[in-house]
Amino acid sequence: MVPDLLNYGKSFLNPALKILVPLLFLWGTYYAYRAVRRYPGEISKLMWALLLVGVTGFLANLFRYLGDIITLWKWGESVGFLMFGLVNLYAAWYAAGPLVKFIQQMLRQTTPTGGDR
Amino acid sequence: MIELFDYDKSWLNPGLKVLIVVLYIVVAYGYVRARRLYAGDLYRFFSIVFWMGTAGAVAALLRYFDHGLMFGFTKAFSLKWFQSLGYVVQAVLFLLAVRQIAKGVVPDIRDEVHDRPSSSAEERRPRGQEEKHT
Repeated sequence: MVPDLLNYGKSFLNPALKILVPLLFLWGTYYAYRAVRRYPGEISKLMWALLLVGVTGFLANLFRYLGDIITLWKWGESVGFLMFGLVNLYAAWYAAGPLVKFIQQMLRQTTPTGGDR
Repeated sequence: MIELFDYDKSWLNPGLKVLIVVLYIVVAYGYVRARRLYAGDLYRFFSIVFWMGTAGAVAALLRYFDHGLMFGFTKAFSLKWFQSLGYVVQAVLFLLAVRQIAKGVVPDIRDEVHDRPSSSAEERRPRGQEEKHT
């Protein structure tokens, strides 16, 4: 016997958690937007990727909630999470590749000895 | 064609669920690789997003198993609770990561990328031609 609070079909916690998650992503998107404005140049591409991570995370989790109302919207959840993963992948690739090269290049140009720090 | 988009019958549904799990594992690996290349606050940032990717992978895996009836869970006490918790953890970690970046606790890289080039440009500029700051 499961208490009502832990009953997935009856508990208010189920829709509450489903609403909470997109709101957290929306809040994070706001911070990512602030980061986009704060950092110029090459690093802003990483911030733009984080902004898109926030938007896709928000949409995917919103469709997860809406999918309980209309089943067809669950496709939005699947596609949203797929997009969320792809944007994250871009962010990881960019941070590990082009951004590192850019920073190393900048350091070479700005270090008095001209070598790697 | 209609069956392809029938969420309960289509092979696309479990197919996408599996693809998303694999994608998140690759994402977590990508963030670990990125983390190795940085130090200080950016190392911390990539650690947080690594755990965000890991939480996403776990939640996506639990999503594939639906209510988890094969593991002894029921539709009332469902495995989906843990899926929900996974998504909450993922969202909180995303919030913490971008908050850290937005608050500017990575002044070291900001100095490298933004301030240093302008200071070196000033060094190359002849005296008496200082850049006007508005």
